[in-house]
Amino acid sequence: MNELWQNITSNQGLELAAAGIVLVFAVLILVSLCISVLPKLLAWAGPLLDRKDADLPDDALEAELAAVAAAMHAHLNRTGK
Amino acid sequence: MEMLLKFYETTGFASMNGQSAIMIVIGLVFLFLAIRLKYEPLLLVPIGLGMILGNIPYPADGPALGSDDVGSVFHYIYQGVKLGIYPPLIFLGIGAMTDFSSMIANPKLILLGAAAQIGIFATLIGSLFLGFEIHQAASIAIIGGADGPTAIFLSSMMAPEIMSQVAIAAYSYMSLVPIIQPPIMKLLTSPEERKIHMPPSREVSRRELIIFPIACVLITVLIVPATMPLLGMLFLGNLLKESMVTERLANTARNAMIDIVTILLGFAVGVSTHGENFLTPASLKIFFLGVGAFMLATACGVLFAKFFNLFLKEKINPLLGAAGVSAVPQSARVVQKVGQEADPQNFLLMHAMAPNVAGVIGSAIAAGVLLAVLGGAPVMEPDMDPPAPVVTEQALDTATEQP
Repeated sequence: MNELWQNITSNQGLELAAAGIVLVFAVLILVSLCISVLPKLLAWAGPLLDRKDADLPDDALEAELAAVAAAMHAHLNRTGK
Repeated sequence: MEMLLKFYETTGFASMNGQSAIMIVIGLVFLFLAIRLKYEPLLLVPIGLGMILGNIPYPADGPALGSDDVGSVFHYIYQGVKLGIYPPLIFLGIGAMTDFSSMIANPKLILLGAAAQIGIFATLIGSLFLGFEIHQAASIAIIGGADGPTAIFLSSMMAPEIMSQVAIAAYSYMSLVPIIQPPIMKLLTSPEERKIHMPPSREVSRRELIIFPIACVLITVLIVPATMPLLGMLFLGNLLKESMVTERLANTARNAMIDIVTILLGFAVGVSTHGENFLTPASLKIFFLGVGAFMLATACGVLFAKFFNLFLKEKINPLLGAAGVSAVPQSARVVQKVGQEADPQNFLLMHAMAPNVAGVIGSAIAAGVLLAVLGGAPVMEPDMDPPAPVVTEQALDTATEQP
């Protein structure tokens, strides 16, 4: 029995277990706090993060422009102009 | 006739021994559990058939066939497990399919995911008490996290000689969640506690969903860098999903990629189980400690929820604590089922998803802490790998004497 207990103490098993539990709780409490303040932070920073639609790349518009350019290219090739 | 006899000597029948036969039977049992009883079929089918193939005897002087034979296809598939490649890829897929909104909506439930990890560290002490070397003890303890990829990742880094036992135990107990957890949950809670209703969660904005993986990866990885392979990939997958600008990548990660990696991971784990190092008293101890870890984790989650209620005005249903083990979504489903048995109008599933996904993060952090403090096993070039050592009582005894 002593030898088995020795295996725990010589490997600092109790210290490792205690430190591990504390660290897991600490990190997850930090994550929890971060999530808790997120809505308030977003309410404050919301106007800064908002961008007008005109500032954003419009994939649909880009696709339409590419299609028009391709059609024009094909037409010009066909007519030889 | 001589030719036929010579051919017979190359067949599996000629060199079949008792250990191989038992392992093949265990593989068949896994297939039965998966196909007939539908216990974790996505994992147990590849593991079961891999176990059968890994234990078919073949002549040592023949072509390279087994996972230990450099040059065989199984050897290279197994490297994904041995080098810790598959688990982070699985985490990428999990991230791309996980909805963290229930956790973001109710951040206090994250602590239940932390409480369930107490089972891991209690089992670490138990494993040391049973004579395991510290790295092996850490690998066994992580079974309590009920997270297969994390268990494989940690044991491949810290104690590859017992990785197959740890992986089989972790996945077996994950499939037995509906059997192991309910008695503990009922034992530790009163019918009144099980009837506690939870208010509906608030709606979570898209911005919160996008910022969450970025903030969370920074917090977790800065504090415990050893979690980077697992949590980095988990939150990358989640960012692919929530950012809404990489839908194709998210789809691939949560469908095709995770399916491919699951097949390879399960098969590699199965094919690496060999009778001579699997059928040992040490394996029995590992399975015993594994189920203990799992039960302790469940109990710690439930008890912490009850303790937490002492300080809360709006009580939480203590059954949610059982979902702190990271078997997603099985343990959340068990919470829903046990809650509804007490009150058919009680719907706890979405609330239970919060500690459930927090448990995934918590068990990865626990693995990272163990890896950071204890360090991994020495890394070797794949082609220089010696055959997997045989784990015997004697080997374990000598291992404990090493510094």
